[in-house]
Amino acid sequence: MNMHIHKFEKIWLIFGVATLLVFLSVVGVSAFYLGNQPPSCLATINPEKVDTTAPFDQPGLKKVKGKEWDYELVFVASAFQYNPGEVEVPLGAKVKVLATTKDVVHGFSVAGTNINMMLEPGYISEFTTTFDKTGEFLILCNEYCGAGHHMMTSKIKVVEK
Amino acid sequence: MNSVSEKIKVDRRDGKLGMAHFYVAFIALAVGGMAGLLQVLVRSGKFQLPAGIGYYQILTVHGVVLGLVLTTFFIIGFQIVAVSRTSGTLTNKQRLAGWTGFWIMTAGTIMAAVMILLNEASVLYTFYAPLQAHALYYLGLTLVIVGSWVDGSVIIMAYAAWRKKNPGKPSPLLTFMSLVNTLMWIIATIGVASTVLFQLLPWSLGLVETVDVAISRTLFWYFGHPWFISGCCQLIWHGM
Repeated sequence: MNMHIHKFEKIWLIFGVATLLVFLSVVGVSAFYLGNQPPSCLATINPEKVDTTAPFDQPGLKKVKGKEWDYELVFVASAFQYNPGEVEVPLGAKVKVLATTKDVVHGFSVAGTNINMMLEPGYISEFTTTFDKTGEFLILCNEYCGAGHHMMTSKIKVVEK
Repeated sequence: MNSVSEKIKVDRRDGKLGMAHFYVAFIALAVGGMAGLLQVLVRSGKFQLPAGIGYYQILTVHGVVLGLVLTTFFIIGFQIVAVSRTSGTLTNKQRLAGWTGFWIMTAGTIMAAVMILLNEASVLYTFYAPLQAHALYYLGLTLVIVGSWVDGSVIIMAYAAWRKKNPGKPSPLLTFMSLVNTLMWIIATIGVASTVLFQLLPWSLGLVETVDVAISRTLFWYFGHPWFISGCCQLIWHGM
């Protein structure tokens, strides 16, 4: 069969394939060279034993030593609340946020920051950040989790100490 | 070959099959639009739904009928008519397959709708496992997908028949595009069909205890993304 492709079609196809290659390369470099990963990346937990598994047996802020970050902030989500329901963080602290869920999928979005994670049962989500602005930051569930979804909130207070 | 006036005509029986799909699609549009309006009224705080109907219940109605029912019924009806017009009237066998697909999809839609109305399926149209809906909700949506495959076989059969009759010639553009769209749809729906058949249905029937959420989400969005893209393609060739 004589396959005739119009010049414009050829240009269009080359452009499409090139775009695809560029974007896939960007993702590849970001993941394998820069080491970027999603907040939930291969760290797992038994969702039925969250309350007895460290560090989720003690939700809240904890000072840590010998790590790249100064504090660990542990959150446990369940329908329709976060534990802790409110927490204070010192200004300028480098904090690793660790969160998981005991039941269904929940969201963990801190309004006014770039913290936005999905919490899936069986998986641990992590995000390291520095709180360099004082004030109250609202934590919202932004993944539908049932009848009380829109009431599910918590609060991070960044204070000078 | 055909004169212009003959070309524009679509066989009455094929037109009826296409219109049946459009009726369901536009009823879905009306219901879904109404649900959207009710959501706004509820969120305004000045209005309460009667009979204990929940906000997320009508949100589920909104998503299922607009996201799944309207789009699927509309595009299949459109493709059947487009193929009938550009590649010639469907055979009786093809038309029967079309009606079979239509009724399977409609039965599935009704099953899912009843479960949503009974508040047994307020899980939104993207499922949000491990929130659990009634098994009939999952089964109903499976029937919508399976019916769309049966319907899609009409497009594939009509294309194959045209190819056989016209060796070496390029196929009519609208028929070819309908075929490609149908194939994209079949490839995309493998994802949602797998998560429903192998994970959600057995789990909602109590046959297995848990669902791996990461796998079910991955399979669902394997379907979700191309399904949106396919929606965009429809817009492009509607412009034709």
